[in-house]
Amino acid sequence: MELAELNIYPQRNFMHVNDCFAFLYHELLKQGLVDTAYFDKLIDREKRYPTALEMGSLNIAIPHVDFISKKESKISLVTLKTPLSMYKMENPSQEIPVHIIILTLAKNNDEHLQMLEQLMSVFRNRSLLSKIYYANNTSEILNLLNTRSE
Amino acid sequence: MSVKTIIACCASSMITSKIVAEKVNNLAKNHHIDSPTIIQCKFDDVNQQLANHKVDLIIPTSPFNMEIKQNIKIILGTSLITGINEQDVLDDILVALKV
Repeated sequence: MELAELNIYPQRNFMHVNDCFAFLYHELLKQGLVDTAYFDKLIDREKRYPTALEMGSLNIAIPHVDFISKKESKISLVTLKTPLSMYKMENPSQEIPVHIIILTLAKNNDEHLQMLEQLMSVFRNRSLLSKIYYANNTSEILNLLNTRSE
Repeated sequence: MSVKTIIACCASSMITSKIVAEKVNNLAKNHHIDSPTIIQCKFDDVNQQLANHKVDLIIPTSPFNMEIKQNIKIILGTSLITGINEQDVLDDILVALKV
């Protein structure tokens, strides 16, 4: 993964998951990749079909909506200093603390799939997941994302 | 052992269901089982697919509140995304493929 493909935000604090979504949306909006419809879709989709995944002691969420990027594809990754409560994909009535949110935005469905598969192969490795969570800066996270998983 | 028909379904973007479809195909290949017919669709389209196909197994990536009239086995496939308890779920699917 190249830096240009990513928006990385280490060690952020938000009061609520929707505040985090709003932040990520505004960043994508500034980059000219989405429009206002995107935010509504994001909130609505997460409400109807939550995306938090229990990975062990550190959990992730992978919000992804049917929205075609207006320019290039982008992965937004935010590590949450204070974990945010989100509902599980596997059991939408159960909330779990989420430590990393990865928001994917692609130019087409195939590319979107590839992005998520590549990311999941990284996050399935618990020691990598933990290193990414505790990393303090963007370049450290980028290096970890590009670690070849065994 | 007949060729099985499986529905892999998810919320809307067809992404997590595609990951499931690939895992199931690999599972069949690794165990030298005839490749199942995999129908990938959104939750909203499951009933329509059921009306048109004889389906042996449904693998949703999250629980979906849908009444399935037919007696079809459902295996929750979220583990195939996270890797947590993945082997148990693959074993369940393997049994269903071999029935």
